[in-house]
Amino acid sequence: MGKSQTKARATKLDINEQGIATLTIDVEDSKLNVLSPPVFEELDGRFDEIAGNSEIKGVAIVSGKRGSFVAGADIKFIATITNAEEGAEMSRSAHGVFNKLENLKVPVVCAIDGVCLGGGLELALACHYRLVSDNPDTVLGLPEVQLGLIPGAGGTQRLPRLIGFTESLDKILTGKKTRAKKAYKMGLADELVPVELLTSRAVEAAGELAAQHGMAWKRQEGRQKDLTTKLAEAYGVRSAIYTKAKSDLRDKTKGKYPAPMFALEAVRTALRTDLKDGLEEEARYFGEAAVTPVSKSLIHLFNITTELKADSGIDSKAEPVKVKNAAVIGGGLMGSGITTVLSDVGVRVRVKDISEETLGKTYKYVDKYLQRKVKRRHYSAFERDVRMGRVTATTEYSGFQNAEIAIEAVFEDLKLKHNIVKDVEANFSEKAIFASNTSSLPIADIAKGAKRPEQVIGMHFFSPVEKMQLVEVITHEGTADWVTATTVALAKKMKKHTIVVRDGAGFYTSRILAALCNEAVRCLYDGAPIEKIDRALEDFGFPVGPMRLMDEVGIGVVTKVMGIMMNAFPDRFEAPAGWENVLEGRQGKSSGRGFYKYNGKSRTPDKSVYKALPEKKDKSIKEEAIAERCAFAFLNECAFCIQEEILRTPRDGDVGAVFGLGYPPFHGGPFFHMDTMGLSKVVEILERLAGEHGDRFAPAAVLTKMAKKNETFF
Amino acid sequence: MSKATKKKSKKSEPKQSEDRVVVVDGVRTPFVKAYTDFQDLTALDLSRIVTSELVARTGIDPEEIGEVIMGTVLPSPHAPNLAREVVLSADLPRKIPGFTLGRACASSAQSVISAAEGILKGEYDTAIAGGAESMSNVPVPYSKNIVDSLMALSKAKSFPARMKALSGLNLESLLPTPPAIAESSTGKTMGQHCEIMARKNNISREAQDEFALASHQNAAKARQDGKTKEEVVTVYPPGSFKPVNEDSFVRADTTVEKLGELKPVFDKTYGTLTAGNSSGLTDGAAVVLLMRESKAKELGLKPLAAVTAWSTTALDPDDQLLLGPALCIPEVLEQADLSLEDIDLIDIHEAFAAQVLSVIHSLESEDFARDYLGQDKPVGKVDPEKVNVNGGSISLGHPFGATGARMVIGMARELNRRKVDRAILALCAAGGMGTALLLERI
Repeated sequence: MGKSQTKARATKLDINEQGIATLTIDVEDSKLNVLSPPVFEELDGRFDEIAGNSEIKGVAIVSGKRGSFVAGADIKFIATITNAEEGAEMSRSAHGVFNKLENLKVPVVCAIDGVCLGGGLELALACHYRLVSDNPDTVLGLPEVQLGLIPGAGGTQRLPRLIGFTESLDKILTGKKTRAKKAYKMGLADELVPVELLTSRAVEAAGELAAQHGMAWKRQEGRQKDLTTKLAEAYGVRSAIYTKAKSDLRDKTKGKYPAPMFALEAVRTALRTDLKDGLEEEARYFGEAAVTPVSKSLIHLFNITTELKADSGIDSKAEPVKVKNAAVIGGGLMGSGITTVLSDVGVRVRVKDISEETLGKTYKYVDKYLQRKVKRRHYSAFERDVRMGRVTATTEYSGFQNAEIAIEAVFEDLKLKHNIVKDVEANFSEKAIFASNTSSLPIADIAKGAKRPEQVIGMHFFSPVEKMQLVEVITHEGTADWVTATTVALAKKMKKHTIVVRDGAGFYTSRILAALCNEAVRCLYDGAPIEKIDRALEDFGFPVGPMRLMDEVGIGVVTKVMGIMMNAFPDRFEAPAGWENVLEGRQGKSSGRGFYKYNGKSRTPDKSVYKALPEKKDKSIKEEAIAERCAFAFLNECAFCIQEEILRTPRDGDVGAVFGLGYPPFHGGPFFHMDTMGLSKVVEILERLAGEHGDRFAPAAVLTKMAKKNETFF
Repeated sequence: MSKATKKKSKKSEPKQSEDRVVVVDGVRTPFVKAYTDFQDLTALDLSRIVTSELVARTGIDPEEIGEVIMGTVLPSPHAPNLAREVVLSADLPRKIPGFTLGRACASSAQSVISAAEGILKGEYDTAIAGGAESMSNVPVPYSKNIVDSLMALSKAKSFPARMKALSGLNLESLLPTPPAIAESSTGKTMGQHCEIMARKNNISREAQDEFALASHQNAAKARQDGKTKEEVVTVYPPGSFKPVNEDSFVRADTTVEKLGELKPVFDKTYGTLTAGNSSGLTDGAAVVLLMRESKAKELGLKPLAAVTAWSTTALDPDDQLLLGPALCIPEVLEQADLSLEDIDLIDIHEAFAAQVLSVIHSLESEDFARDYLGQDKPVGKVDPEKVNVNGGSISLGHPFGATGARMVIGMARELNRRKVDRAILALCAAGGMGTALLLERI
């Protein structure tokens, strides 16, 4: 680790009369304790100081941040790694610091309250005794693989030594977090302590350990392992577990994410060699992982989503209104999902629908979600009841006088939406916001005829709402800034990544998705079989292929959106000849017949699609070619959205495509992907495709301009 | 034999206060036959549903609420202080306390009275008052024998000691002990008591059946006219989540003949009380929002009625157990300086048709006036057209803890529909008690 210029002020050391030192970690000017190289350096100095002070008999490490221990290593520094050796070196220097801690001649007790992740847990693992608080927010984990990395500060070596091979694989390969109680049960923590007593108990425990005869605390064996763990440690079983884990990973990552594989190898090493060699292997794998494009992409996503959280969505200083009461108009699938999430995050929500049967289904939807949470012990029965209690339902416009916002989730019909705007204006307070959960109807059209058009906005959720992490907020020209700010704040409260886009045909997500689907249809016309198109895009990294997706969304909706796109951008979205004939009699999955035929859970391509096509063509079109055409139609359309200022920033474009449409996260989003490929390369491919398939591939002006100047989006 | 033991000590004088207590609005669940649609909903679930709806409908800022008072007759051991549980589980501000009271079948009438007293005393300006009962979820405890054995078992340290702890058990111990339905001081059930009243007051089987028929017809008409819909919130019971929006006891198509076919249930030989002219076991909840009148004005709310007088009386259970209303109605009239003719609507809880008819008989009787009230003249003539105009507990059902609040909600609205000034409400309750309230249109 290079010497840093500025001295981090991150720690404090106090020694009491009994010779127990309390090392408080409290990184200055930071909400969370994050381990950056300067902080590591300071810790290193502290460990030297402790080693050199014979008065110190024992150490307690605590956090100065309330309700949070150490959140992990500083991603900023990892992102600067340019080659594998540099990464390995960063890992080695962390090893040096934590080895120094582990090798101290006095016992070190770690007091964990709140988040203890990544480097934070690796610090704890190097201590001799770990306490966890009973605070429900206390979680321990090694989430590095989620950023395309592996634990690089000893985690892959010390965790399996403490809790065993199987348990540690489960933690390290998935990056999932462990709650305090579970951590105690599996032996990751030595004591589960009431949060109020944590610090005092840590000091006390350090004293008790220090008093042990012949440094007995040095022999860390963890607590008694149970029979299953012992069995799993048997040599033959271990290698079977390894083989199984490896094949599971291959299935799961489809070879797109290398980090878990690196982590598996590193953990395996822990079982075969001593700590020193194991750490060296870890450093090597860490360096390799850190320079993969996947890791760069995932870190990019982490950074932009973090940045987005701090963005109010507007450029002015307008203050958002706090939403305590929300109304959902329309209790169908989307309305139910929106209701579920609203009540889940503490907003009272009143659902209006014309049918009590539908409202019953809304309740059923909310209940199903909550029951699952209770079953998984995320919520108590009481917490479920409170959330149910926040939901009221009505078939009449009564009880809406206090709602700060009405979220409309009815059928996509402009006339119907106009009527609802009128109803809301008549039955809500004058300050109520009208947010339309439309996926394609222009917001300006919905606002037309409204008494207060400045309070009309789009709030596009994705289905299923409780799972999908994106909300696309759409402002028309007249939308007031406080309305945007309020809608964004509410969407964020609903724990959604929230992007603000300008009104325009298809907004952002529907528009770029339409571009992809449009090209998929072209491929179909050129002879590509239905399932081949889907396979091509799924191999590319989309969760669902376009043909299946159109079936799921419903052909009716697709046709409507395509119509809007065609009107707006005839050059790129013109429907191929005879398209209506192809769609004849197909409604999508709900009716059992779309591009596929659905029978219960099975799905087979509907061959009659081919008969309806104007002329039969060559079926040999390659998957790579299909994926390229569809992906580049998509990327080009993303670029148009920047060019036309539909998007505020490429950042929003990446977040929207990844979290709304499942654009492969390992590419970091369309704009980051284009940056990675190089814009001149992107332009080159688009020009080639334009030559082969027509002008619809003509690159957006912004791309050629930026490519010429050698610019990037980020 | 002692006659009435009038209760003079707790006499409120709300008229002295310029600032009255008003009913802003109220909501109830449909009243549903026990062990049917609401089987899987506890009294707390039902209470939460009506409370959430009341808060939403009135648009009241929950921060304004100073107290929540609930009445219930058979509290669940899981939520003995129902009102506090309602505060917490309906996500109301946790600073609102909440208490639960019991005055048998007059419990939620008492909730309203207690809330009104708190407001008049200046403790708070706004309160939610009501009650709930889930007869589908009545707690059925183990026998004392089995509880004692289990306790001994948990203390036993050795195997022989454990065996000894269990030795006192026999098959009979395994039988649960359902809550008593009999009056403890008399050993008679409520139905048996009412049979005595029917005999003493000469209430015939035919008169009872005719009264029950009128109750059903009035309730059916109220439903048809959309009155019920105004006060009821649709409930979506977990599981099916099918909407339940109607009271399930109402029989629009019943006749005197049909009612006449039913067999007496409490006294099979000489009895006149049947399932048809008695109220049945019911699940339901009801709450009202009460407020200081000036506060309601300040918040721009339009209250339905003012609660201006109330009284609770009790008599010897050995006498006519359910005659309470005949005693508390004249007390309320006296407080308000009114006579029975000044009252536009009379709502009497229908435990049994014979009990309501006994009350009416007594109000009109000189003997009753002399023996119970110490006055020469009877309380007054009761105009049948004013009585239970939208049905009562026989036709609507009777969730013990919720009936009083249901009557307040119904009458507060009816005063406005008819544009009349005063309604008197009265309930009989176990132990020989009676509670009455006077509502006045604003």
